[in-house]
Amino acid sequence: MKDYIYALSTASLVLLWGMMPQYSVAQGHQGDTKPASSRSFDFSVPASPAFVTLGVSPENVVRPISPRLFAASLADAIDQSGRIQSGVAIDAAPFMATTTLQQYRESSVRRFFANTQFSLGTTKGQSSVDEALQGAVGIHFTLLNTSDPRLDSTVLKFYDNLDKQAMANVGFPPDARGAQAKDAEIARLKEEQATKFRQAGEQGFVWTAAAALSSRSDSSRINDLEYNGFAAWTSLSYGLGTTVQGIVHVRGRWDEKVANTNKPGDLYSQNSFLAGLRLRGSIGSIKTSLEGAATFIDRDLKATDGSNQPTDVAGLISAVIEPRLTENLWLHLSLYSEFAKDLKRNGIGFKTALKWGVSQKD
Amino acid sequence: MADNTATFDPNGPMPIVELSMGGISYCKFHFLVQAPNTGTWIEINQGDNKQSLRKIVLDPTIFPPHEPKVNAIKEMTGWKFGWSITFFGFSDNSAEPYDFTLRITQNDNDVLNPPVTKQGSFDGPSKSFNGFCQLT
Repeated sequence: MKDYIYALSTASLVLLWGMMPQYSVAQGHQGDTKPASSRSFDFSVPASPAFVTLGVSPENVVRPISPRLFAASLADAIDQSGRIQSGVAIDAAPFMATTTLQQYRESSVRRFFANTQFSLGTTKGQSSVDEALQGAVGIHFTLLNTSDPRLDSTVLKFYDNLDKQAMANVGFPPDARGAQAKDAEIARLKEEQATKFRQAGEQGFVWTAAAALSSRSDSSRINDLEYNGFAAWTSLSYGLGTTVQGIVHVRGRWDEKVANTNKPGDLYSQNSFLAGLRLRGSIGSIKTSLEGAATFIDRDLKATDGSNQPTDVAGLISAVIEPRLTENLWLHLSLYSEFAKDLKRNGIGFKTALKWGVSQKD
Repeated sequence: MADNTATFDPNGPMPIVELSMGGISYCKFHFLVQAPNTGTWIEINQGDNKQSLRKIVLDPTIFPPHEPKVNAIKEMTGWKFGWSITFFGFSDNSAEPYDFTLRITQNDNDVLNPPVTKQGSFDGPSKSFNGFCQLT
């Protein structure tokens, strides 16, 4: 599986490089005049707080969801500054391992801690513009989840029925082979009935919040890592019926140091803010989304005439389709358009982006 | 061949099956018995881990004769006691932990030695454990 992920990771990088003529325009605007459209417009709450802070989140199932006990992620991406970045992140919800289902269902305090996720990630720039090593540590909270499957008696009833049907179909061979036969039958039955199960899981409110600290080493040595600002965000989703989900997301990133491509070796700091709305639904078996977002960036950088740069304001709209390639592999295709404040710089344009991610099933 | 043997005191109180289930995944259990020389398993109890600890008295009505209870314990000899315990994960690609301990006690003493204990993590939709012990 690892080999497959690495192969896909490399493939995605090749495809992204294939789109470099479009990004080369963006690269030309890096630094003090970087267009908003070259930023990541994934305004969801990814599973890894470290990756979202570093701008290379591989998780693009853009929903605020409860964390997993443990997850490892790899990323090849073009980050918020248009740089090619490779990274790795580890996320863990350690209290989940020490909580029983009964405690989870009966104690809101145990539930809160079980859903608290810690995250650690690093990225390394792959372009000559910025080869810095960056790291982030983050924490992610699930504040509300009315569609939590562990609390949903419908989901537990679904499992109960799977168990009952499997016992009826395979009987009770009282040994390890019998147990394997039962698991195989449960897997078959679950796949057969998965659509109903997944749709049931998308109902209700989910509200999450996260924060992360970032560091940066321009020498790429770990010993040289220095504070590079922090990020915080919150996201709220609501299942609108059985097929459509609405997501509101707000994110801030403060004191981030960015390489100035107009002055090699020079860094400037910036604060950025994003607010967005997304509608996510299904066309057949393919997930599709429409997104709208506004971004604001304040840069600590002087213009050529010595004046302060104005806040960079832009709006983004996008359409995303997420065909499912394999069990845990989703392809994400995005088409988006930017409406920048400074029309001389950008006007309206269209670009495409290809992303990949290993994601939790719907 | 039975995984274990549970030996009862025919003059002691009714045996109790105790199943404790850890982990945050959903766990479903079934208990079954098989009469001597029948080859047929009959389910006597089932449930889940919405309660982490389940205690089930081995009901004398499943072992003839039904009364008195002390005779029922004597009549358990030769029967088999079986279990099917299945854990269901809430995310398919994340290793979720499971653990359970199954004991059979009589007068608060273990008569199933050693108790059946399993723990680990699973990646598939479910993880099942089937087994049985001989009652003597």
